Amino acid sequence: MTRTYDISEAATGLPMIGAPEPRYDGRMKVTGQAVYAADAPVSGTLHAALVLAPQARGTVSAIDAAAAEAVPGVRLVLSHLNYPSDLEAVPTFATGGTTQASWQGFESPELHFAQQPVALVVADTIQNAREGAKLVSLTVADPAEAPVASIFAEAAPEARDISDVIPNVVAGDVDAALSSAAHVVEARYTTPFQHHNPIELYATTAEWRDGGLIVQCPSQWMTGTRAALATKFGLAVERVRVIAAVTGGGFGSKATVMAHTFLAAQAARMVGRPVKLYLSRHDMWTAGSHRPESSHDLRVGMDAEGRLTALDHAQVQQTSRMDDVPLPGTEMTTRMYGWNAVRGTNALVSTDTNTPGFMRSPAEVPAFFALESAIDELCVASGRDPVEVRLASDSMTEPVEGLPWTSRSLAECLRRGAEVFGWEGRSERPGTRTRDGLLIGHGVASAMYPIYASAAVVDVRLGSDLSVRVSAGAQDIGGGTYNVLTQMAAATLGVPLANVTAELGDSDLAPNGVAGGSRQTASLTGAVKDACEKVIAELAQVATKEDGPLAGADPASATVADGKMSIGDRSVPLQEVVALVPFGVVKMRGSWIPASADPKSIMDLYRRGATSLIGFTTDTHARSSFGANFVEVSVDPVTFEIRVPRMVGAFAAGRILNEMTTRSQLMGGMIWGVGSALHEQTEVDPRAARFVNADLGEYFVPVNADVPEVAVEIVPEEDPHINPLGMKGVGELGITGMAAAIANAVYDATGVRLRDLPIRMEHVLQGMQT
Amino acid sequence: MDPFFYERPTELTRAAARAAEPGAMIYAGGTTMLDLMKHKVYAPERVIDITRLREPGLREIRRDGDLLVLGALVTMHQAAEDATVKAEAPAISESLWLAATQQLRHMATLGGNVLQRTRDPYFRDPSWQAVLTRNDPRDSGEPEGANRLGAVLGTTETFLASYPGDFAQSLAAFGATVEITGPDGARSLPFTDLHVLPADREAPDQVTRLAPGEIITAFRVDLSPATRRSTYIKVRDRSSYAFANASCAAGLAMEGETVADVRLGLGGVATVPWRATAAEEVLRGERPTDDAIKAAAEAAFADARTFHHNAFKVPLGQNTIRRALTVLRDMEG
Ligand SMILES: Cc1cc2nc3c(=O)[nH]c(=O)nc-3n(C[C@H](O)[C@H](O)[C@H](O)COP(=O)(O)OP(=O)(O)OC[C@H]3O[C@@H](n4cnc5c(N)ncnc54)[C@H](O)[C@@H]3O)c2cc1C
Repeated sequence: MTRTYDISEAATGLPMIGAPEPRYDGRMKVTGQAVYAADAPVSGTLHAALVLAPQARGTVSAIDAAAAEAVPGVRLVLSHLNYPSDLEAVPTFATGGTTQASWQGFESPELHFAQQPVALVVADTIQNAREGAKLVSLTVADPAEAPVASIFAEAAPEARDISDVIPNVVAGDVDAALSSAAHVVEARYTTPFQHHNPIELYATTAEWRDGGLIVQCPSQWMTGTRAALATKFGLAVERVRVIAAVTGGGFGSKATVMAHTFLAAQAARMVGRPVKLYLSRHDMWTAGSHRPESSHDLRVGMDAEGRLTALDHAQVQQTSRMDDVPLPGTEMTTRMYGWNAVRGTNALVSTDTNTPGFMRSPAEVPAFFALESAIDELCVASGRDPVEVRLASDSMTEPVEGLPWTSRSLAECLRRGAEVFGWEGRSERPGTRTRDGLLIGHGVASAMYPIYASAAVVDVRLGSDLSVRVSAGAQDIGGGTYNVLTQMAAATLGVPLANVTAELGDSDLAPNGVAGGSRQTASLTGAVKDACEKVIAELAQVATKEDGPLAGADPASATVADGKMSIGDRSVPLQEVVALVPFGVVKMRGSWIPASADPKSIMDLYRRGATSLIGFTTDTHARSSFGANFVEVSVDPVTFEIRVPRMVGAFAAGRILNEMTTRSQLMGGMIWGVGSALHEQTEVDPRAARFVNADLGEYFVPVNADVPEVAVEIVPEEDPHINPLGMKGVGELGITGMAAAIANAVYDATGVRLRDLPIRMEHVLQGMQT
Repeated sequence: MDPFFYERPTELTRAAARAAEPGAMIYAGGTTMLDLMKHKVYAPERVIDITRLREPGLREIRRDGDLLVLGALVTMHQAAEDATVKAEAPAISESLWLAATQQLRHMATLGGNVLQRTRDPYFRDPSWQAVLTRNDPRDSGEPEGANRLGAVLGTTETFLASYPGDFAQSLAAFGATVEITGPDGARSLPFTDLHVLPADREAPDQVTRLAPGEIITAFRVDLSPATRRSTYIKVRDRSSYAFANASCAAGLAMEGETVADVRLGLGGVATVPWRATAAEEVLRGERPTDDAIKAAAEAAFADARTFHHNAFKVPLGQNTIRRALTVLRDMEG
């Protein structure tokens, strides 16, 4: 089913690039007034602490809790010995469910990863709980085999083909296309384990009340968390309430439901009191997901005219022994340019580490590092300019199924970015540009992030004083969702922005999908528009009644603006109309279901938390946002320190509702890209399969001094095919091209091609010395 | 964190007596202590907070002719900013400036600073002991584990954890002396004798030569042309808030065209604060040409031993020396 929307300013009442309104929750957060899930006081709360198993494999053969139970104030030591056996297993996100991993609590004594929780101690104070946890002693029966720490380990199992889960992408004869190509690059690229580490740590406060369960925990997915808890404990969804009014960062780490939330809820049920469990920074490395290690074998071909012609991309990625989490990187790389022939395959290697998941641009960051680096290598091999090659290979038709892109402004982004950055092409020989004794290199890479959409539901209430409240069981993970909802409602209802408040982060509000995959804002605004239009229709009915102020006029042609309702040349203050409504308020539920989605998807959303994804390609179109990253790096030729003095990103993402929050999202992505390329690596002990630097002191991310200059350019773009407002997502777009842009710039600065992330001084050193 | 007794004496002799009791540890700025207590690496039964000691010398930076005395309770910030330190021994100021963060430098003291422990992750998380059976002391680092940040100098086959601090390298370079007061009175020690090389340890936990109860009261530095023409180069993975992958505190004094005196302290590459005497020997009395500097840098690492992930520290350490000496050579003065 196709549909075209009228996204013009006249139809939507919104400019293509909207006002730069500061974050609605910004002041509250920076002044410490925001109440996060772990902050909310719940009277009578007991505290819990986890006991972790240091081994990655084996079976807990004995637990001695006597000493822990003797600690004053300890109420419960929960472990597989007293864990209920009738709790439901909730499907994982990767299999269409809501949970992070199939390990969901103390169902069995088996160990799946190092630092797996094996007991939970509940006490009257956090100190006593921790003291108790320290005193629990474990006996672990060692497994016959040593754990596998990494997909790169010698002992790692063979990669498993997963084409039954993610179909291979094949178009044309890639081998033939490569053999007739003028230039071919064949190389392997790898990326490491990385962890998201939002500032707000994981925490859960669980309280059972009147047979129902109330859980406060940071979450990107209120409705999904509610559904997961309902399933786990055999409750109707109406009996479960999940609250997290604000989140201190998500980045995918809070998208799915994790075991500690189930553990806290189970403990609260057993002790008959609320239980609060918060995790430490260290625990963040294993309680949730991570970006899996990956490896990419690429063959890329270019013709004699400098056009990219063929791509063969084989992706291998880490997963745990218990779960398969396939991230479809080759689905995107095979569609990026106007290839004549492609083959994209995906495979998994299971290790004895935790189940991976979603970390800002999960599939794109590793896959595009590989593709956009390989293209740079082709440019070097053919002596062509990397911007020109990308422009020459641009295509308005998606190459696999031959679908048109709903909109695609890659070329404009490349041109605009090049202009702002001052791209003058590559210096003839790499390693020849210097400034203040430093080697200077320039790099470019394209960025893309597909457009996902899911059903969205919003309630809008207009009060007698023209105050407006927008409510949704969705989440603002820092992207400015609060803002766009209020801006959208104000524009549609013709009232000042100051009149509008938004309410999110509570599963009792209208059900919604996950705030992830850069889809939430675009989906929700459609629902706000629908709800507001219903409010206007209701008011128009009242106004045009026999005794109404606009009696006799056609309610269908009513419009509102500046606090007035008008039909034809008659108009009346909105407030007078609201006063005529029984009870003096109008409340309407609006929804938006993506055009090609199953209309039943809202029911699914409500019951199961299921988030029907409309992805990348539909029957008629391919859908994505695009951009271009330009980066300058400096490399000290003596100390080999690599820095990024400046970067420019140019992006197009349809209508931009709020220029400031959009810019911030894109900038945050670019800065993260610096970390992803140069700093971030979770090291894993090869013998114990355990993460080593699980601490922000030793796991590096960029500091302010690492990002002196970041410029974000927003390229205007109109897309009438996606949703009623013509909006695309921006949350993940900013990071996707960064790693390759940096690697390419490092090559330009030094002549050293580095294909393994993170790029560190020792790699440049080794390259420059050989 | 385990329960402990906390005491805040006001007199040095009392503090030393209390600190000599079993299970007691000294607490100054607390920036190392609190971390390691939370990580359960340290579990003192008694914490003797020395920040309220009344002896004024502990908080003073004093210049007495060619002698610079830095009290043990002087904060990193105070010393980094001190006009005399900046003019007479810039490497000391720079080594402090480039360390940690503004907040930490305001809390941390010089005495505590030199006694910070390795950042080796296997040391900072005692739960590793359950999975790694080792004969070596806990602060050894892991030859078979993740050891990118490990040392290449002063190692043994099984001990490679690096000493992370910056300030100590300038003290080592300048041949500083440590002033100590213990239950049995006062004594002093060359700074480079304070830390015990892994191979020389009499017991696995003999990290320094301080006896129970001994408190560092001051550091004495002889000022000279080489302290005046000095600098600290710190090479790290990001621009700030990171320990050194390699660092060099260097001082240079010229006599006409040749090197009269040269001082080199190396950080990030050694198990203890490290003075590169062999390298100094190579240069002394020579013209500091690029080649001579290179030869000195190579001499500094002649005995280096590398492990799985840290072989780069040899060329990196050499280049850090080269950078420091080149900067000093090309400096006016
Ligand atoms: C996040 C972080 C980053 C850091 N980065 C750097 C860096 O880049 N470079 C760097 O050099 N350092 C760095 N540090 C280490 C920091 O400089 C030290 O923690 C600090 O200098 C210790 O001083 P303190 O007064 O807080 O010591 P405390 O924590 O109070 O004590 C440290 C140790 O010294 C002992 N002690 C203290 N004073 C005396 C005394 N007078 N006599 C005898 N024993 C004593 C204590 O018993 C303890 O064992 C960093 C620390 C942190 C937490």
